[in-house]
Amino acid sequence: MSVFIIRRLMQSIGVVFIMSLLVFVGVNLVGDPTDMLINPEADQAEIDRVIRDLGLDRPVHEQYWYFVLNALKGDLGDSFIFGAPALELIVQRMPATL
Amino acid sequence: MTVNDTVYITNEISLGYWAGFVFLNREIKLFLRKALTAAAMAVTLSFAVPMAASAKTLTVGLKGEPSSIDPHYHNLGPNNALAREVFDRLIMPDHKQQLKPGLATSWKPIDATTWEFKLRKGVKFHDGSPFTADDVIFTFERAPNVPKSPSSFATYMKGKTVTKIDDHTIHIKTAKPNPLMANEMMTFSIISRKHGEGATTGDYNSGKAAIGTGILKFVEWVPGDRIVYERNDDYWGEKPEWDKIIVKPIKSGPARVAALLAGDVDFIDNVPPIDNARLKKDGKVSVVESISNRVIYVHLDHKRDASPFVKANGGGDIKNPLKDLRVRQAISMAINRDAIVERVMEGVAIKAGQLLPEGFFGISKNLKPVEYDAKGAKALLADAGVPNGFEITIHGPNDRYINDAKIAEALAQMLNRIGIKASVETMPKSVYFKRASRGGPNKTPEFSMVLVGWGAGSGESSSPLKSLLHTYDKSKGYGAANRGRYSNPEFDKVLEEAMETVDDGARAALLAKATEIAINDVGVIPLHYQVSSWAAKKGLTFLARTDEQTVISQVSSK
Repeated sequence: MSVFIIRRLMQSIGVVFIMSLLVFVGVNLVGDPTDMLINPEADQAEIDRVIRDLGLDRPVHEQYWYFVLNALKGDLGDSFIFGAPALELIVQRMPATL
Repeated sequence: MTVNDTVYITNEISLGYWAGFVFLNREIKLFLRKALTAAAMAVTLSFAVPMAASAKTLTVGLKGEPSSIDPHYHNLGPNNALAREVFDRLIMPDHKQQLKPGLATSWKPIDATTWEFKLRKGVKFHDGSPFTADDVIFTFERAPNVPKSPSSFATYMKGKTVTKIDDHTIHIKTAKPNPLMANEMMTFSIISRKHGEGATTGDYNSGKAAIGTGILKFVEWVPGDRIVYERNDDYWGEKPEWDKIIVKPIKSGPARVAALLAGDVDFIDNVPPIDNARLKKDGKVSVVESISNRVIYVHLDHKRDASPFVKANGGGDIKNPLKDLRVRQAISMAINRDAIVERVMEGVAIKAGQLLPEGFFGISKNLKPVEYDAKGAKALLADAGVPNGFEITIHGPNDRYINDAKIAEALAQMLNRIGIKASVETMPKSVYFKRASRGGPNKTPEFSMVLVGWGAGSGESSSPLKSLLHTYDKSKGYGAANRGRYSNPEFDKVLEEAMETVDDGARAALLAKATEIAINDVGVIPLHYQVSSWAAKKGLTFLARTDEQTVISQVSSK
């Protein structure tokens, strides 16, 4: 039984890893949140600042590496939109799913 | 997709089995709540009739939910519209984006580079502390520096030095003359130094720091569910009508309309065009409309000698025909703007001949919407040496502007009629705007013909002229949204002169002249102005606004 549980746990770690990779690459391939977030009247300097602040000027693999590193420490990062920790936002909305 | 959507979808898939129970549970809760309310009302009625009659609550359903209560976190429509209820600005835009005194009672330039603002006396923050020049200075310190801000107000504040003269007088100095000083002071909220010092965005969201001078007091925000406000009896301006206002974010258009018709909310914004006519006939609701400051337009590739999405008939390479004025004129003449307004927009739009409609500052009196003329367009193409047209792809978003994808398709049909073989590719805004702005080599615009919209936040014409038509110039901050890379030195000169002319009359004339130069040169092709639409249950009115914002405290039962 314990072997079964350990095996399943190992599998789920693999699944989570692959899913995170797929989602991350997917999000980066299809779009860029900058233009959704920024006020259209902003000038080039402000657009550059937002891209830099959100870390979107870094290469994709570097962005992913930071995401994994922080996720392992229990930090899922901050929501681009709300600026609040993603984990907090998930917990806040959790009751609606129960 | 928002977190919320995800939550609901998971709900439907995995908890389908439980749906019955949840529903039942909800019904019971609802019944209990109703019973309790009824009991409470009975008690209230029997003991305190006048009180029950005076408690007035307004519930509104809005399309957009703000991303924060912090007024300086995110410079975006839904945030700004609600922030102005809790926090006043120095100058408040009225329903036509005209400048009205807010926390400043008067303002004037005292020399070429200095403006003097007289502040309103006797104004109190919601906690009773007085409003003074220190709060304005603090606002200038905090607003451009909010951590993690996805879009800040720095654009309107940088290069300005604020000096306190006395408690109710400030001077704002710039390096160069700044005619837009007053318009810029209309954009951001004034916060309290006492509550704002050291406060994070989270402190505003929780309500701890959300203490302004505005007409409404902030009570609570439950993301995805509601935002609650109550009246500020000490407000310096006209007293609020409602004791309590509850904002319900309802993203989907049909759901908003349904909520209004069912009586769940008293008022909604962004009525979908398809429901507009029906709601107008409905005796239980009333609809108010206003032309908006948002123009829908087409940008063509003015820069590249070979444009990536323009091909010769059959697919070979050709020299970019869009650089020829006659071809651009032909495209504009091929567009039947009346048909777009009538058939695509269901009549809820107004055809455009420039970048801002009548009534706004700095528009041209001479420009009219280009008349549809397919024959004339064909003649111009022949003149330009492309009598048989060419192939082009029109790119546009499909979830940004009202009926955007349908407009792009209508444009393609109209171009096909004059021999330009146009095809359409639309995509979600999250993909579209990046590619249209900087998807090409060296972060240049990727497409050849794009459908876009522009709302003039400043309420005057320098906003679109500066961003869409001035030569792309990073160091000056001009042309940031010039996705056609239009460049005309004559236009640039007139516009730059206007941007340093403080005298209103002279500046309006220069802006009108700049508009005429660019539109006659077909730097962009204006299609139509959007019309914003709100609906309320019978008995309520709302002063329709040109800035697409919903100012909830102005919903009135008078």
